[in-house]
Amino acid sequence: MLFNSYLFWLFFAIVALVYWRLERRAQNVWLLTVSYVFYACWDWRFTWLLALATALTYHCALAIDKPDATDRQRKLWLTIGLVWNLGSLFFFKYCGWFVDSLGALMQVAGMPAPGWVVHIALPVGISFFSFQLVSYLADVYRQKSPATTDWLSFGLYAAFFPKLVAGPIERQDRLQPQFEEARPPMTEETFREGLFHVLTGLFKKVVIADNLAVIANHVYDRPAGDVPFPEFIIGTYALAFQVYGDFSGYSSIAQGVAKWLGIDLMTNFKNPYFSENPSEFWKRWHVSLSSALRDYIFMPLSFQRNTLFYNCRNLMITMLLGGLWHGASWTFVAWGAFHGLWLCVEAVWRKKSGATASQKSKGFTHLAKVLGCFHLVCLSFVLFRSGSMEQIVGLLGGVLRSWQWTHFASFGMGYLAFLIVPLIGYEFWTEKRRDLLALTSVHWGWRTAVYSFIVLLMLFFPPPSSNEFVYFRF
Amino acid sequence: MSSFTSVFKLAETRVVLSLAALLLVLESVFAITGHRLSHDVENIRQISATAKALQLASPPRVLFVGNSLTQAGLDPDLLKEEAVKRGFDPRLSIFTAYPDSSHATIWGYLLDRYFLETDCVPENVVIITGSRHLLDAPPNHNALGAYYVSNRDVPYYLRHDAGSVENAMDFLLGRFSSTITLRRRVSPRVFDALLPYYQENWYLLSQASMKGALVAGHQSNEDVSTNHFRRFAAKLKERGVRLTIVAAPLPNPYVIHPSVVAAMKENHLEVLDMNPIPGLTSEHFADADHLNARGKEIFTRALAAELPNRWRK
Repeated sequence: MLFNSYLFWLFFAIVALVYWRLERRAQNVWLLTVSYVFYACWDWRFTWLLALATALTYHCALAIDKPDATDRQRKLWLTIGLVWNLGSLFFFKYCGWFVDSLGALMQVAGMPAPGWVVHIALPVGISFFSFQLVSYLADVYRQKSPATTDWLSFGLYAAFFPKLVAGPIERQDRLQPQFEEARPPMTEETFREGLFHVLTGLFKKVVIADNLAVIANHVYDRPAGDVPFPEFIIGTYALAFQVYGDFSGYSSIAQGVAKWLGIDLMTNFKNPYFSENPSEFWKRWHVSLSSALRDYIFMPLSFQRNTLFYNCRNLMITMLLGGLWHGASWTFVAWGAFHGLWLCVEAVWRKKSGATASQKSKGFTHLAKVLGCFHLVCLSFVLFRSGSMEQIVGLLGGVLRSWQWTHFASFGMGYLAFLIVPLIGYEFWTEKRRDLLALTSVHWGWRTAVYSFIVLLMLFFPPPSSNEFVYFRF
Repeated sequence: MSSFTSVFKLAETRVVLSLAALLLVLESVFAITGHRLSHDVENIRQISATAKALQLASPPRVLFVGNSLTQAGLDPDLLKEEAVKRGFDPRLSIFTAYPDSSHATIWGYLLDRYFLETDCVPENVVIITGSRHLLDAPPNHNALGAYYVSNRDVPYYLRHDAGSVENAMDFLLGRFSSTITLRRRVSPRVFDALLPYYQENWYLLSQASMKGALVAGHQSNEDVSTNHFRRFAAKLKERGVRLTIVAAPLPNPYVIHPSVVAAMKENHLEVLDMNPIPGLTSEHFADADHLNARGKEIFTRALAAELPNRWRK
């Protein structure tokens, strides 16, 4: 049930109509029920996994937080919770890749290949709900937040359908209290914000991401040796905006839908392509993941030693795990390594120059830094999208092989510009206003004009085929 | 509930109502002038008139059904002239229905809605096909709803072709909204005017995208079916209509898909193989699939040499 499908909006209309007729507890029971129905529509076989992970984490947290629990007992319950959540993530997501890699390693070492083949269906959204549950266990263990005794609200924290399959990865102490309290009544402001998130999200997904996917796929699905360098560049720009439009579009729709149910989800993307450097990029891109990686991996690693060397080591570990979180493939590991290295270079440069992260450039320097940062992000997406290391080398090798400006390059350039110039223009305006919701506070006529433009583009410039949201794979 | 609906009495209502007004204006514009967007829409809208003309014409009447291969390859006037020259009944009337990108799924519904259900039944139907056009194919559900599926065929469509709520919704929207039905015809016109080399590249991208969709849907040669072809062949036979299948000439030689051949055998149909035609070379094609003016003449003359004999049997 994709957010850009009729079925979802029929589903949501029924959910909302019933929901606003109910009292708080009944609202929560209804939301939990429809969240599981939503998940079952993706793959009913794994609803047990979600329910079991939620129940086990709930009880582990209660056991950790018992006033009379010893350190040993607290560690034991934490270990049980982590082993279950991370173990199931490993089993479903990484087992096949691990076995393949082991076989390849044995071959390299001159041993006979074992010939094991492991194919395991990946439960939708497992990376997201596992990460949420692990973060909750860590918070309870570190006594950052108490274990909840409200199983219904906790069940919703884990399974709330707008963010269930592709985030944002919400923290328990931010999301669950909203389920424990009576929902604020729907106001004009809430409706306006919800409409804004839903329409901009659909625009990013349907118009930007799905249309640009056609260009990116055409470049990345061909043998690398057949792709002239200008086509590779255009395909990579298309890919960068496809991934951004896809994921930020999904997050935005999730935020809008939740808003219409009286729940605030965090903003996951904050105009990331206007970043000057990698650390700023990660404060704007997939914010819920990057902040979770920071709080649950980087910070604990940095707890004892805060020298430049250890800082860089911790950055590399964090980003490698972040890459691996995205998918079970060496190309994702390479993508994580690229970002880790880039962050290390920045850390070293800051140490040498004494510059702080809050210092912003102006004018041409700012533009040059933004463009430089964007192009390095694009380069990282080459690693992200390529199917193998050979393809990465082949595509990048095009710089030495062929600079031929083809008909496809001319067409692709125009197509790309047609789609992304309005988006960049709009985001530039919100950057200038320093307000991502600036459109909701202008005169209604301007909003109508922008929404009309969005509706017209969605109607008349549909993609040749609708693609699933990219991040569902993670 | 009250809090949810009360919101519509407030200021954001103006935004929502303005968007609704925009959609209504679009709907009116497309309902009135939408056919100007493409010749294909004009052709489709003509089918109803074609059926009425066929009903009024005296036998022998021949209806050619196909797609752009037929449109680019058949000259009805020349065919009649040649057929009469060869001694065929001079009262021969030739009618055509060839929506772009159509195939057996669309042809089946089209024949039902415009010809069989309205008793506009010719003596002969000729289908001009490539290798796979007689296989069941994923249709454009908007177009099926708007132009092809008759009210009587809706239950059949829902059982056999809808497949999902999404497709059924597309079908319904297509049936009731001209904007939805015609929306995919806007971007080609805009892009063709704005973007260099649009047509050649979009064709390539669409083909690749469709291939990707087939791979994603795991449709293989083993999954193919010919339900629509069998269905309309049976219906035509029941109404006493002689059905002739013509394999259209293409630049590269091909064979009719084995599943289609099997379905033809079951219905005692033979294919009139016009691929290749002696004297027809790659110079007679305007692009990868379609004949040019000279090719059209050669193909039509070749048809005229073969078809009347079959119609006489």
